[in-house]
Amino acid sequence: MMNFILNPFETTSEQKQWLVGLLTLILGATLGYVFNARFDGLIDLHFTEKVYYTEPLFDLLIACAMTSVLLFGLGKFINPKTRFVDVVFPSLWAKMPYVLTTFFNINQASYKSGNQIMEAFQKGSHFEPSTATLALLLIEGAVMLLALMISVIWLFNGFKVATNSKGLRNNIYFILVLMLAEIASKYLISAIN
Amino acid sequence: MRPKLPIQCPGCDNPLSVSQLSCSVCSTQVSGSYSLPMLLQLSEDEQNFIIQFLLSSGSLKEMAAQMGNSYPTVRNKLDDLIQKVQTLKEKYQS
Repeated sequence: MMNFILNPFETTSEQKQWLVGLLTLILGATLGYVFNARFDGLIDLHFTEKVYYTEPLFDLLIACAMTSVLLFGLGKFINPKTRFVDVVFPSLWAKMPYVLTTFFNINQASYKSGNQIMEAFQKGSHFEPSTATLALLLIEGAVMLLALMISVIWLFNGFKVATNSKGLRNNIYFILVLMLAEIASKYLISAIN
Repeated sequence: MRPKLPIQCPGCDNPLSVSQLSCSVCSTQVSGSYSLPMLLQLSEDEQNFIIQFLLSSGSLKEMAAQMGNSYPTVRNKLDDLIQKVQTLKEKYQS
């Protein structure tokens, strides 16, 4: 079971992987719109005052496309038999943990706490949150960290399955390409907006 | 339970060779030093993979569905197996 959670790409059929990928896009755009969330980067999730339905959808599409193209390039370099579709799946799936954490912004809760922290920081005063706010921030931080870990693990394992990548050198290339994908997708999303 | 054919020495991990064969009907025994055929030098899982590959007419997609694995997982197993067979073939020929 644990093996499936950490590496669903080893056993899940292509149809099911497409289904989860499309669900991520639809759910991401919907929840992003409802909870005012932007996925402006490969491993980014930010809450804002107001978003349009198309904004989180384009964020997801750009980040996934950028990640897929760059990972495919590296995949072809490592193993010429790599198929594009096999790197698209982990790129899409890796967004699911972030999509599910948008619930933290119900009633703009996370956005308001973030603003309070920023205001206190700009004024140079201490941020004194209520117990409920502090508890929410702590839980949110822990869940976000877990989401980040799952996302990166899925990208890594999905890439390994797609390319049959082995060895430390390929892992270092993977990390470099992931960093490049984060920078490129963040730049492209901010340039379009 | 059908016992597995050992292909590696449990003491030093080197490949084992055949030193004796016997007829189960008349008990005639043949002794000598014969190396195992290349396919028998693969593990049981690898031999089963090859049989599955033949039975599905080489369709990796069909194999993936039968084995409950994704297509790239099966292709990776095949690639690893090809590499192992090539190494064995080089050893076999030298």
